[in-house]
Amino acid sequence: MNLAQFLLIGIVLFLVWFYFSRVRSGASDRLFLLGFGIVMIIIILQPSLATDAANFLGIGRGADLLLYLFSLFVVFCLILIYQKLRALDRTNTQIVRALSILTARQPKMPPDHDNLAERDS
Amino acid sequence: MQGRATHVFVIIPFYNETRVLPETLASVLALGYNVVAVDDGSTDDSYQIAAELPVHLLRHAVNLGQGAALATGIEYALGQGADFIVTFDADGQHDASDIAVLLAPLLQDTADVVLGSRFMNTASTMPPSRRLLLKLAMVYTRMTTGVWFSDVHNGLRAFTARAARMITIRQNRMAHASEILSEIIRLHLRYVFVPVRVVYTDYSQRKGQRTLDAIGILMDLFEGKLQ
Repeated sequence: MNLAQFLLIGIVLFLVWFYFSRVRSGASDRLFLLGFGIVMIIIILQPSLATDAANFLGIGRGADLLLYLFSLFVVFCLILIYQKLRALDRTNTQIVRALSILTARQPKMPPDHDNLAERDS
Repeated sequence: MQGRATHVFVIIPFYNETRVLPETLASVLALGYNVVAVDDGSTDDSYQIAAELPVHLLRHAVNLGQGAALATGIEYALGQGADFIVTFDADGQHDASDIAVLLAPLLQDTADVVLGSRFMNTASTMPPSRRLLLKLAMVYTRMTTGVWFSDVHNGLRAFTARAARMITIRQNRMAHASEILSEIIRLHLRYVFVPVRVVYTDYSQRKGQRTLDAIGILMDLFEGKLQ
């Protein structure tokens, strides 16, 4: 691994951590996705750009760069989807809970000795 | 406690438990406690069986997990004016007479949370595979909370209403047990362990934790930390 790759990986990891811990919002997610999509389209239209960028970064072929970017894109999307699912889980739980409390049945014959002080005297 | 009524609510979540549920509910009712039975989406007639007894009865429309059922029961009990909340298993592993043992430190105001421990006496018998699994769970809990707990997966617990209100249970499934311990540490609640009896019958063994479940719990907890 050369120095450029090392630094780049460090920057990518930092950005990912920073993004997920601070900046996250629906709008920023969409911007990211949009940005990714645009970059992908540009590279597909002008493959030489990918080759130039790849050479600059010391990666190899433009196709390799495309692959890395695409992999990152897919991982990013999977994380988003997973977090959406977790959020859905939470709201689902809230609904089921609210419904169960609404339909709660009171005991028919309430126990009339839940007063521990009286009971123990 | 001079003359002030202390409302004790015992939360008993259940899922497809027709065989022992009536016994379990009756044993707690016999001691005069309020019982909140929470049906976690049973597909048999456990709900109808529970409905014949004088319990508060709630039902999840779909199965969410024991953690979720406990959280539901606790929220309901707090709404009913509970002073103390006890969690109790439906499968016959727990002894209702241990509830008084759990409540004692709360009544004396020496603790906010009382946790049952099956390792403080030799009365409980446990299969070796379970013992090993629990030892591993102990180590995991030590790593995440910084504390060595005596029994990290015991469903028998008691809280003051105040402590119950502060503790948030987000883990719907079996990881809730570890989550409760983490919450106790995070909130700096006073806790104490008391010896309780846990009975391992053939019936409860079949429904108990298996290695695969333990791995699932670890993954749930890890994901929870990512939130």
